[in-house]
Amino acid sequence: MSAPHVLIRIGGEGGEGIISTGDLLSRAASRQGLCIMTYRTYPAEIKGGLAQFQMKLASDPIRSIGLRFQHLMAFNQEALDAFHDGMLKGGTIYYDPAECPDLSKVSGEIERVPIPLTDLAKEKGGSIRGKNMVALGFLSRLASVDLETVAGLVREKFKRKGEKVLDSNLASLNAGYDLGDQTIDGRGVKLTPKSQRGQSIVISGNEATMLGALAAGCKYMAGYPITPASSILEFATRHLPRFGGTVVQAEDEISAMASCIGASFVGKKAMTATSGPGLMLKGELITLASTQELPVVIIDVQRGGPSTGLPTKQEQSDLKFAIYGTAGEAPKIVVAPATVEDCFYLTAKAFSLAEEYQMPVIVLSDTNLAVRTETVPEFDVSRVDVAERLRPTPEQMKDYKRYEDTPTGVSPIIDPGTPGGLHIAPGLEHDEYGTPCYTGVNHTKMNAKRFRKLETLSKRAEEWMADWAPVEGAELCIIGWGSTKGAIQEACQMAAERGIRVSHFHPRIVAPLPEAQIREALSKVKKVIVVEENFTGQFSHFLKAKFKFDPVEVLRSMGVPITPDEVLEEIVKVHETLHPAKPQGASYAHR
Amino acid sequence: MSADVIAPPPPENPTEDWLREERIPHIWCPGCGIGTSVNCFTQALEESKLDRDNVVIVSGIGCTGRVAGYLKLDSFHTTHGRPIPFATGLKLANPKLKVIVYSGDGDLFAIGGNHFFHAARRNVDMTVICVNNMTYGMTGGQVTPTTPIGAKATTSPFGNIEEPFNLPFIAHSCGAVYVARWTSFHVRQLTKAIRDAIAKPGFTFVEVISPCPTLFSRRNRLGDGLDAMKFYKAHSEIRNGADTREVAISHQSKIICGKFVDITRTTWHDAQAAHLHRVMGNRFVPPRNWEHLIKSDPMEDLVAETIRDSSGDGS
Repeated sequence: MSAPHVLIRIGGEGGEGIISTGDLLSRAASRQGLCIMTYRTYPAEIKGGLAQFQMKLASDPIRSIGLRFQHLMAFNQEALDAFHDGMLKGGTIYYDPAECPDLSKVSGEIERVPIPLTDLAKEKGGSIRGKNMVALGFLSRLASVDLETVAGLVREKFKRKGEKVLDSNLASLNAGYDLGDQTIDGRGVKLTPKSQRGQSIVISGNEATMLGALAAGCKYMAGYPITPASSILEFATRHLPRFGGTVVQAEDEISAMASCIGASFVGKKAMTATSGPGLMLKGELITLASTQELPVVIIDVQRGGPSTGLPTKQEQSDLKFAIYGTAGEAPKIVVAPATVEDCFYLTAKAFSLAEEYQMPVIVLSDTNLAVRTETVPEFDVSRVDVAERLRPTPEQMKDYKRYEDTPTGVSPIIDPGTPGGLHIAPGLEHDEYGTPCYTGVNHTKMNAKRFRKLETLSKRAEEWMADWAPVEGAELCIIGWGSTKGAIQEACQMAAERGIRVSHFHPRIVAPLPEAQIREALSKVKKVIVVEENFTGQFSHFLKAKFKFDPVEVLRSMGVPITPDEVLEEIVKVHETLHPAKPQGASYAHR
Repeated sequence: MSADVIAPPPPENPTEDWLREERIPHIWCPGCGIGTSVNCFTQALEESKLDRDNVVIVSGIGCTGRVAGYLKLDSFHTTHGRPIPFATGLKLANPKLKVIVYSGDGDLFAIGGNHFFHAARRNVDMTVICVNNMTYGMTGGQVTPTTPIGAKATTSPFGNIEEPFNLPFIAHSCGAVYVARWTSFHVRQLTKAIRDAIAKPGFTFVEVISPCPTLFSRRNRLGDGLDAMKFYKAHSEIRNGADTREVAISHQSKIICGKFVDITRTTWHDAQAAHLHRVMGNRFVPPRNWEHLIKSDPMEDLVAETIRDSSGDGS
């Protein structure tokens, strides 16, 4: 069974401090050496609407958080009504009686404990705005998180707001904790920290992404505000100037992309970050970078689509656009981080690939990774090894061809301003010198040259390209991509506990596909299950076209991450089709 | 080699040295004004004595968009409407380069309009040369945002009814520090304007009124390239310092030319360097190639003053 952990959800109106309550509690738990993973949904509106913050605290590293929980803190009736059926058996609802008059919908073995958030905040802290602090104090006691650690974080958060505000918040916090002391007995959770403080950090996928870019030597970032990618741009504006980089909030998505290509043209490592609607706008310029063979990194934090879609919800539905979504045939590399840790190392890797293969690299992150926070081992910058652009030899400089047709497809690149390196970077089809040339022969030759770079890459078969967990004797293999990894891993483990052996293949590079590795994964099993969070099975289509097989598709477009239970259910179903239960008396029928 | 090898003759045309001759003949029609503007441009570069290796030319799509490809300079031929954002990134990433955007009215003010406004607002250090021939030449003569009311185009067969943009006014109101307009008849003045615009730090703009004999003049029964020159000669009025609100062009009416704006405003780079240096103190690490900005910063005194005044840790 799974390791000891506690699952808490906090729900209420956006703007009431739901997110900051969860954030402070999980950070305090992490400071005590616990592992955390958080998941949040928030309304697209800035104030109002239903928001929730879920956290999992555990002694051991956490792979997935699921959607169910043991403890619910309901700030209002709407949260109570919306979330009570996510409770695990034997769970407890804590509710604010001033805001939740009607408990009639809650049924089953669920304990109900009133916590007067509003009244206590008013009485002890002098303002109802402190009710999230009451909740924070109470939950700290529930999860056995040290009050002083929490209070320290509250002090950090409110130090700029003046003593009065801070005192009021601390008073509410203490009141909540004291109430917990009186109320919680057997329900309290005690988790033993295993890691030492300083070995791990708590960070979101978006922060990890931008840190990875900084580690890789990114020196130019341009973006345009878009949920859920904006925090990458925000992080960049704050930190890039400390590393000799330049950041611009552009006037639109197209401009952001164009200016990155400009920066790359003069030799800088450049990136932009966006979400689906922005990726579409950038499409035009992604083809330009592809044909001009300029390195550039595009972070696409996927959200629910199409169009404006579900801006704050989870979906993995930009894959086809990322791979194919251009007019004309423009090679590009697509990678997909599966964890917050991946966001760091794989983004850094994306810069390396872009420089090495001189083409756009799209990093397909998603809402789940972007906004969740997670305990991860402190990033090791020495593991980041970024390739540099191929430069011409003195021999090549004698007759410099910017688009020289080489065996790898990669040509030497030179920065403008270098004597003797004069060249055009054209959007028109061109010859090896960069001079526009529209003959069919030349077009075919240059297409072959550009696409040869992808072949060169797909043959590399390096370890980072995929996570491959083969299980001896497994008949089933699950293939997933991106942030579904943790849920699949847990499901495979649960299946193993039931005696069903399942292998798991999870590529980090999705285009070009790591062919040899996938063939190996496919060769050893009877049935393949492809898991993805979209409606049409985008990755599955891509695999089927390439490898000609017939997988079972497990597709979800619910706006929330798939859970281990859902994956397990599918594993069991497929297992049963391979091993149907023998009907009674069947053995006689064949005599 | 034998002794009777003779030195190559001096260039017949002073622009020869600036052109990629292997790409000539160019695509422009007889009577077109784009080539004239290129002559003025290369003359201006010649006179500017700039290090050629540090000049980059960026263009979009269209007849004028082809300029970048004919010049012996590091050139970037971008997608339609995007030369300005492209040049923005290029310039911000390497401020030592002299960046010139050379494109047409449709590219810069229809599909690329938004980018023009914001680059001018930010005062990114670049020179934008817009050859305004009032039509989309390369696609066959459609109406553009500068086509005058009443003029015919393939997409306004009964005459245009939309108010055209007054380009100097747009540039001025968005924040350009130098704005001039000349026609392709005014080659001396145009050359000087381009030279001045390139020399001036900040977002500078030169509009070149130019004929499109094949698609605009013919459809509007205005004769050939020579007739256009005669018209420009007869109907242009030089009014330096004119109020940009009053220099709009109507169909076949007076064209007011001259230098309209010449002001000083802190460029994006200077402002950014000074500001980050001020608020972040030593934590701000200027990008490579920015060092000269910090040293020769016109706002240096202001920065020093502000640092003295600030008591905190600079965060």
